Amino acid sequence: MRILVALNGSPSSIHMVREAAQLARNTWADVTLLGITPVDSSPPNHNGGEPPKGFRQVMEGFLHDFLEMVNDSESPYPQSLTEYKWKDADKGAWDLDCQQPAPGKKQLTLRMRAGNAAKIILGHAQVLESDIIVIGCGKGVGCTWDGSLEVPRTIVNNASCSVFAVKEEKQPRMVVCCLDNDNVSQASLELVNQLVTIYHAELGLVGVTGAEGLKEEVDRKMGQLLDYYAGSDIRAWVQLVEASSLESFIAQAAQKDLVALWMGKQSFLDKIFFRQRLGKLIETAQSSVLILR
Amino acid sequence: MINALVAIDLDLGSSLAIRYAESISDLIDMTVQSVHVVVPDKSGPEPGMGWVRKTWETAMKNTDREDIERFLELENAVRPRFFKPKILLGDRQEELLHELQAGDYDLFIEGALPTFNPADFNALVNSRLYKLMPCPAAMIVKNLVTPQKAALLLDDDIDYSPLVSSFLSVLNKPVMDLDVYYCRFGKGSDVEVVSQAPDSPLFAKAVDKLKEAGWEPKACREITGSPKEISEALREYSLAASALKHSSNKKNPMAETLGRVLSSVLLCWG
Repeated sequence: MRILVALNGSPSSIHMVREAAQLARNTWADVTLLGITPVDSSPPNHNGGEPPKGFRQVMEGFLHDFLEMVNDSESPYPQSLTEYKWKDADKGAWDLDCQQPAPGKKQLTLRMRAGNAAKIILGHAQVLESDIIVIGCGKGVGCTWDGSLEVPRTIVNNASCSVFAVKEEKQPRMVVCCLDNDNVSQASLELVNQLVTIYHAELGLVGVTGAEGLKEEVDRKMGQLLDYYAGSDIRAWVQLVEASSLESFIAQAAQKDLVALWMGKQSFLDKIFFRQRLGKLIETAQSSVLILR
Repeated sequence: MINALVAIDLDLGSSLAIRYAESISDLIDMTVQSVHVVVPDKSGPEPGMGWVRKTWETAMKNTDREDIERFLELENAVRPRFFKPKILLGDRQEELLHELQAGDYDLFIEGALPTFNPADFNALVNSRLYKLMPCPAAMIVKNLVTPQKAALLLDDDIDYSPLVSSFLSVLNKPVMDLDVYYCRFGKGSDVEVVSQAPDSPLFAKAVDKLKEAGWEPKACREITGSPKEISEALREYSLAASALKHSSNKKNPMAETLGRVLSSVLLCWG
């Protein structure tokens, strides 16, 4: 798995780095920490391969914290910051890479960029073929990037991979996964599995019903998922929700639970949660939201 | 010996019902008969009378029998008795009612996945099948949870004595932990749980009756809140048991609470 962690350089993003580190530790994923600073805030003397000092300190701190979180004898990641070195890079782009990654180790790199955050994040997700983008959402209601709602909204709406919008300091009691089709990838199953483990949460499998009830293939898939998670000793609850009530169900669930939406190509979740509504969901949710693609 | 009838179709709810029935039959002395009702396709013409109709009915039943037997095989049901389902043809509710009457069953079991809309559960328990059900109790299996801990729910509208009798007619020995709740339904914003039994001779009598049968409740509590909040507070239980009246067709808070819990429900008729 490849995880892209989008960071805006705010020290409060540390909770996100910790969440991503927990996820990485459980999945042995390749991880890119992507810090983005607005062009205007870059000091004029940032040339010569050196990123803006304050921003660099925060981001190196994040990398350090990440390494601390995953540091154990079986860690697939480098042991300390001393193994890293800045790479010569173009103006507005700085890369901190592990110099000599040991065989079998996973990649953990730091990228720092200046410019349009949404564009940079989506571009990196595509180039790095990320499976999931982790993006911070602050506390409680609202989901902003440097005070703006636009960046998280754009990411959630336009990313072709999964997106995990992380709310700060919120321990969900349940991971509630909604599905309306049987197009569920093994990677997303494993991701949900790990989130349930990390949060010590229960799992809710919610089948979305249409005018003719639950589709046969969704009924079958829910049975398979139930068996899959039972095999992993995860307590899973099934529930059905009519498509017409889905928004209010999710609005309620998102107050206490982590909501995960399987947005397949054949999914009418994609139609129900068209752009504005998906953006609204991550803004109004009290807990984190996971969009599985 | 409890005589149970499990209704099965080709869906997840039935899969859960089969597995739950198997778990329960590990705990109590229970025989299980599975039944599947073939509902004729209303859009097609039905043959009239005589051997033509007989042949048509046999063909319909045989087709579904094969599907149900394949389904049971896939479920890996280990009890051979589950592999001999009765196949009936006709209106589902009427056929099940006939079978319940003819077989003198103590317990009816079926799977019904919980829904977000409590009206769905209300419609189920107010259906003709449940209204006229001749057996003392029905188990509605909503989820796959190991039966380890049950909550027996009482409130002012319930006649405790027949409830406890029905409960004991199915769970005739203490096979799991049991807590007894007295529910006060209101519209308050927060649920309140008092860890002591209400000061009620009827409540005490119900608990005494349970104790006489060997059930020693781990806790007797009073719980106040809306059906939604109370059902949330009961998440730790794998079974919620309570009574509903056959005659009542109005929405009542206990039915709503039972409709909202995610665990399986044991309905005893009061």
